[in-house]
Amino acid sequence: MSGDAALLAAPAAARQRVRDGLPAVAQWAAPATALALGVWALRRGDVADIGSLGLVTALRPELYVALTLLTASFLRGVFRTRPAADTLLAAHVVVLVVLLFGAAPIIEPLPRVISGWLHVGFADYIARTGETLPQLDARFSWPGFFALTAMATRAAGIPDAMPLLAWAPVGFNLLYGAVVFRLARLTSADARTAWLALWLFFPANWVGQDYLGPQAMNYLFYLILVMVLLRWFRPIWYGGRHRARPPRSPVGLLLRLLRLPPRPLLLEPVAQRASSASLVGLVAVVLALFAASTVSHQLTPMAIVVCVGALVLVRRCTLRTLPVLLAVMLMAYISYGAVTYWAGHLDDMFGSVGNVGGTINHGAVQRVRGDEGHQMVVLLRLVLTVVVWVLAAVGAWRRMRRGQGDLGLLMLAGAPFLLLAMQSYGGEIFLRVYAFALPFMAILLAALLVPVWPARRHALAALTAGVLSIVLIGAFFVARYGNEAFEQVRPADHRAVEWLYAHAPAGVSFVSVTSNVPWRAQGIERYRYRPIGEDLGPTTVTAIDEEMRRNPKGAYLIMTKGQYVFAESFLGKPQGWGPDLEREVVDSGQFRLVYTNPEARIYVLGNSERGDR
Amino acid sequence: MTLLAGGGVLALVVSDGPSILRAVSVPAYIAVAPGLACARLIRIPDGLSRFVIGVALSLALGVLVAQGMIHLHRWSPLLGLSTLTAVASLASLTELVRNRLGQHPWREVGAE
Repeated sequence: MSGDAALLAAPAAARQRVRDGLPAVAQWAAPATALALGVWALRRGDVADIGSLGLVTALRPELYVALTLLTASFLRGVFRTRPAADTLLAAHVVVLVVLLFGAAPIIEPLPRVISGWLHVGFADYIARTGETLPQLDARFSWPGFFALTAMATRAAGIPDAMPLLAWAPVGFNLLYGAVVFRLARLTSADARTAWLALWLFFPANWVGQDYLGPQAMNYLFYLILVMVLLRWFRPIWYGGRHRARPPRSPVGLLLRLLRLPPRPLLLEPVAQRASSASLVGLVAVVLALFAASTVSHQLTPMAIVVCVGALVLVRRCTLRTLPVLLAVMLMAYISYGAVTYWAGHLDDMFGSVGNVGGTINHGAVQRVRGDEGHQMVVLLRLVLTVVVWVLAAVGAWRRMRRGQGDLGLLMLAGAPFLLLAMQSYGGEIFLRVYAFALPFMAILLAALLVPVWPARRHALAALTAGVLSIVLIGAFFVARYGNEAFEQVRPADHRAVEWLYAHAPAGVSFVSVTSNVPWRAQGIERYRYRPIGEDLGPTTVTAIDEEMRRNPKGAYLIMTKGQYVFAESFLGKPQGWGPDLEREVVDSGQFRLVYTNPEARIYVLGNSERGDR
Repeated sequence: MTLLAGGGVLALVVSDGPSILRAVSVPAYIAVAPGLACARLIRIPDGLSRFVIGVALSLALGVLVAQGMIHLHRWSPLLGLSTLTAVASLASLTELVRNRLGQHPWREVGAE
């Protein structure tokens, strides 16, 4: 090339580079704009607008604009003939997680969900004493997570785990996302399905078990364990003997009825090859994760045993003895470490074995009560759950039509339902079954949307995916944050509780009318916490009085707006029930006000000397 | 890198170092380093899997160490942190030595 030509070529090349760079800038601009606009919209949301439908009434329309822009840009990247770079798609996913799971921490001044506050209290107790209190609370029989939190916060020199509380869901979901993407990639033929599965997983994950606690960490263990088994411990060869089925065999008839090919499981992925040293290491990882799970959560290890058992049963896991080993480890811990728990709760643990009808009744029907808004939220959750399951079933059918059934994946989507027959878990088992099956359901759901590539009609597929994403994202804010009226922690309630801790002498009782009080984040053993409970009738004032007199050291009655909203919205008490009850308390003349703020009051017994300030 | 980080974190805790630095680095180290060092030993091929397996394994090791201290009545966050640092350092030392000695297969996997 002559010197002149080189001189001429240089600006042309630069122009070409700029021309190539512009679309890249535009691609990155979409997630950046969505993040900025979404966070701006969330910051302008007002806690006071949270109504009986939850956080959704406090969200500004700009948030939906941001999420629509994000979805459109993501799907364009996925459905293009040449898909966008992985980093760009990942950036979209991270923004989605921040906007979905960061919505509450950005809008609300205090971390939500009082169960998380209680976990902080458990960790605080262990950090102070180095011991557990299984007699006080059953969760102390599985103290692993609290012990870890206690150790980490003390070593870090922070007083408690409160700083971790608000943003834990975002952190946990990002980790789940990484594993779900890998799982989807392992079980799907192309990357598009994996990205789409990941995208749908987040809005479908409305269950809300990702706040700081053992269940959130254990969900990560569960996902990783399954991922390791699916990746390295599948069969390398599925056996080529395809016996011809007799023409009238029931399986053949069923396949024909479902319009499936004779071999719906023809193209199953095989294990990734690794050196034997690596495999030994991976088994050690599996065992370490399961051991940590066993000592830190009640339900997840059972789900792991069931899922691994199901994989082994259909010969999709080569570690045949693993389920037995895991079950032995689980039983060993329960009979040694959790004695205090099961000694008094055998019926709780095994009473519902086989009682599927009772579990379903308890889980699905009895939870639907409360005010109109709450009932609508519960109904939406049920509809959302059924829609996800039905669409996933259709996706599974579509995969099987192509011979890509993947029995391992199907088993993992179905195995968690076996938990219904084993434990009622206080009526929460439905949520957990949904959560355990969700990653696999999302992968099957994505298979419904992604066309067989190269496709002629991928615009239609992208449009369908877009509509489904938008619907799921819209439903997410109602389903996940639907109880926000009482799941948020109100600053006034918190101030009242802080006053109690600052002024109440050790050993006294703290009495409340419902359990929805943000207490026990410290000093869990120093006081007796006595929520009167759900049995609140006309005799409530007498019940409060009796409860307060029961402790000779004294007692404080705390009445807060958070409790009233909980009673009205969740327990189905009539409108104005809380203030009416408080008026009765005041009118009875037996209680004396010792602390007040606009939304919370604290009383002691009239003849008590305690709290006389 | 892991070795340096382990030393740094321990020094911060022992010397009661600057609070913000300590509050960020110690939990991050506990949540990532020990498991990641072990995951590197296992030779997990892709970075994303290695990282999440590393995080999960770190949390698992943290749980086992912390609860172990409770059962043995030896509760001391510093002891726990030192144990985890020892695991991380041992794993990364093994990795280092293995890389130096050439690429022959090593039997020790050091997941625990």
